[in-house]
Amino acid sequence: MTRAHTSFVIGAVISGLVALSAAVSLVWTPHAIDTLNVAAKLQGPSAAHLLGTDQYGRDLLSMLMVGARTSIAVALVAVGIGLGVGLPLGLLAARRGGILDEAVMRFNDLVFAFPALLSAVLITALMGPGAFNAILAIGIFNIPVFARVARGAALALSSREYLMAARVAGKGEGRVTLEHILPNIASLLIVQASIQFSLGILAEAGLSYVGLGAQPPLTSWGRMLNEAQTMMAFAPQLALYPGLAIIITVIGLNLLGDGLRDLTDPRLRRRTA
Amino acid sequence: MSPLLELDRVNLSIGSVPILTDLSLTIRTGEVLGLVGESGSGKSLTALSILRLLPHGSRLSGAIRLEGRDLVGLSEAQMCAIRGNAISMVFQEPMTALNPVKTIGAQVAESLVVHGKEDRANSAREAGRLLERVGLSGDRVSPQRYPHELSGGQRQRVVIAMAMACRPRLIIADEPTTALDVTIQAQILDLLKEIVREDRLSLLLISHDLAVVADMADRVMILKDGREVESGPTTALFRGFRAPYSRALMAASAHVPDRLATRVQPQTRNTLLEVNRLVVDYKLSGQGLMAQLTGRQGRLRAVSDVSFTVGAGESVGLVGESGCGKSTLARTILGLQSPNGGHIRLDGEDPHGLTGQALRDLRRKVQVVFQDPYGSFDPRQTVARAIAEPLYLLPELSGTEKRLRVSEALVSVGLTPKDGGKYPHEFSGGQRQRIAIARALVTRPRLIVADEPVSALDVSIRAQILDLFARLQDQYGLSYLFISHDLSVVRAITDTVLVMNAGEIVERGATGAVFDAPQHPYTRLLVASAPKLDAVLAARATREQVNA
Repeated sequence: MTRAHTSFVIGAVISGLVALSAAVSLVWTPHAIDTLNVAAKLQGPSAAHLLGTDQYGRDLLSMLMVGARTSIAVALVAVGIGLGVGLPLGLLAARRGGILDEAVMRFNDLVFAFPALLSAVLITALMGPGAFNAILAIGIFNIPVFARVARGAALALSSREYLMAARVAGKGEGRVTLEHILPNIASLLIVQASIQFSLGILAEAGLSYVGLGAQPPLTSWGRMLNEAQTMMAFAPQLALYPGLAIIITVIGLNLLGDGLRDLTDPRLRRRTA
Repeated sequence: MSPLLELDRVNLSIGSVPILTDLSLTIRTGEVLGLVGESGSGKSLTALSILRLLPHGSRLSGAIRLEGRDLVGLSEAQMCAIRGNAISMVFQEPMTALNPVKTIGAQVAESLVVHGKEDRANSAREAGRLLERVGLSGDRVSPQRYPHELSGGQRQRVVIAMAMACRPRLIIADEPTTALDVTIQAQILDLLKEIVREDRLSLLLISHDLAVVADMADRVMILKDGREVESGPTTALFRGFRAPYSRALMAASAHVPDRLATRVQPQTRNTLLEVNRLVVDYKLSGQGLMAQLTGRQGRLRAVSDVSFTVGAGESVGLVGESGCGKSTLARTILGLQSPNGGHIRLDGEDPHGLTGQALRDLRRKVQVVFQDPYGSFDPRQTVARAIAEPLYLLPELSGTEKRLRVSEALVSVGLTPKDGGKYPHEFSGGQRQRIAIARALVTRPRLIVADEPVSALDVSIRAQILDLFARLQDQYGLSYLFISHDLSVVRAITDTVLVMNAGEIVERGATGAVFDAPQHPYTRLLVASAPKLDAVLAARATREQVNA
C-alpha cells in the first residue's frame, strides 16, 4: 500500500468512527446524558460505564458520543459557510481582477483582522450564546481563508494555455472556471477544508470552553473540558477523554485530507496505482 | 598537456534507472567542449555529476578528475569549496537562477565573500568590475538594480559575472541561451567566447542546438541515452558523422517538409483572414486602487496598425522576438482579446462583432496550437475530453458523432483512438503536441493559429511535427498562421512571412526572398543573429586554414 493510500485509509477510519459514533448517538447512547445520578459520580471504568462517570454521575462515553455530534455539526456547517461564500468570492476576484478583486480582498482583510473568538464574543453579545452563533462566528472566520486559497490557486493557473484553448473552444469565463479551474484547485481546497474542519472543532471547543458555544443541556467536547476544569486536581480523566477525542479527530481529518488530495490527482493516482 | 577535467568511465543511475553509462570525456585548459543531445540524453546530469549536485537516490561511480584530483570521493564540504570556485555554472533560465530580493551587485559580491576571495568592503568594488566586464557598466546598469529590472539578456550577463567571480578554471554552461531571443543569444555567445579566450578558461557547453555548438566548441561530443555516440574536433566531426544517430540528428535539424501547398499560385487563393490596421493596447498593471478608480492608467501599444491577409490554403509565418506583440496579435485573431482599433475579417465576418450561434459558427473555423505541450492540457482531463472540448462549438453533433470526430482527429495525427482514454501526462512532448493538433482539427477548421508549436521540442520530434503540419495542410486545405522566433522553422513551413518588431510589421514578403535578402535593418539583424550551421562551419574551416 502506498503512502497516499495509507494516510487516506487511516484518516477515513478515524473520521468514520467519529462520525459513526455521533450518528449512533442520535438514536442510542449507553446511558442518557440528561439525567443526573450523583450517587454514581466520578466512577472509574467499569462494565456499566466503559469510561467511567463525571461529577454528576453521567456516563462519559455517552457524553463523548453526543459531544462528537455537536463538534462535527458545528465544524461541518462552519466549513460549509466558508467554502460556500469564500470560494465563489475568491474565484470571482481571481477571474475578474481589477476593482472587484481589490474590493473582495480588502473585505477579506477586514474579516481576517478579527480573530474567531472576538467575532464570537461580538455575535454572542448581539444574539446571545449558543451553538448556532458559534457556527456563525467560525463560519465567517472561514470565508477569507477559502477566498484567499481559491484566489491564489486560480491566479496561478490563469496563464495556463489550456484555459486559453477552452476559450478558443467558445467557452465563457464562468464555464472555463467551473470545468478547468475548479477541478484543478480542488485538491488544495480539500486539504484546506480538512484543516478548517479540524480548526473548527478546536474553535468550537475553545468557544464552548469559555462558555460562548454549546449551552447546557447540549454538550460538546469543549463544554466537557469546561466542566472538567474544576475537577482537574482529583479527576483528570474528565479532561483527558474529550481532549484525546479532539486530538484523534483532528489527526484523522488531516490524514483524510492529505490522502484525498493525493488520490484525486490523476498524475499521482497513476503512479500509486 | 594534461587535461583540466577528466571523466573516466562514469556511471550514474537514479533509483534503478541508468542515466549515464561508461561516459568518458576530457576538457583541456582553454578548450570549449560542446555536449549535444536531445532531452533525456543525460547532458544536464553530466554537468550535475561533475558538480555533484545530483538528486537523492543517485549512484555515481567511475572517476571525475579535476587537475588529477578525483571529485567522486570528496565530502560535501570539500565539494562546496570547489563549486563556484574552481568550477562554476551558468544556467538556462536567468530569472530563476538569480535571487529576486537581492541586488545584482550583492549577488555577484556574495560568491566572492563565500569563497573568501575578498572581504566585504572590496567585494562590492570587485563585483562592479565583474559586471562591467560582462557589459553591464555601472553608468547604464547600476549594481544596485534588482533582477526584475533587467532584461533576459542582461540577467544572463549577471549570471555569467557570478560564474566568473572566483576566476574558475571551468565554466559549465547548460543551454545558456535557449531561453533568450536570437539577437540576444548572439551577444551572449560572443561574450562567452571572449571570456574563454581572454581568461584561458575551459567551457563545457551543453546545448541541443547543433549550430550553436558548431560555432562555439573546439570539440564536440554527441550523447544519446547517457552514452557517447561519437566525439571529435568540431570541423572533422561535422564534415563526416560516422554514427547513424548523429546523421539523423543533423538531417532533422535542417529538415524541410515536402508540401504540395507550395505549388499553388498565390494569386489564385481566396482571402480567408484579413487583418486591417489592427491596434491592440494593454493597460499597464501593477498600479494601485486609486489609479484604477480614477482610470488614470498607463497604456502599452502591443499591436500597432497591423494589416495582412492569409489566403485559403496558405501558410503565413509571423516572426519576431519576445515582447514584439506576436502573441497578442494571435489572441486578437482568436477572439480572446478585443482590438482597440482596426478590424479583423475571418471568412468575411468580424469575430468581435458577432455573438451567440453566429460567433460559434465563426469560431469553429479558427483553432489554435500552443507552444507548451505540458501547459496546454488540463491535467485532470483525459485526452479524449480535451480533444472534444472545441466541439462545444458544434452543439448540433450527437454524442456518437462527437466520439467519431475525436477518433478521426487522433488517427489523423498518428495516434490511435485508444489513446483518448489516457491522461496527457502519459504522453511524451511530441505526442502531446500531436494531441494539441488533434484538438485543433476536431472542428474541421479553415485556419490554425500555431503559436511556437515546435519550440519546446527536440529536433527529431520537431521534424516529425513539421511533417505532420505539412501533411494536414495538403489533406484538409488548411491555412496556417505560424508564429515562431525560429527562422529555420518558419522557412520550412511557410509561403509568406511577416516580420514583427515592437508591435509593427517591419517587413513582409515571400519567405525565401525575405530571409535571403532582408531589407529592413531589424530583419537583417534577425537573420544575421540566427545561428546557421553551414555558415558557421564554413567560417570555422576558413579560420582553421588561416591558422594552419
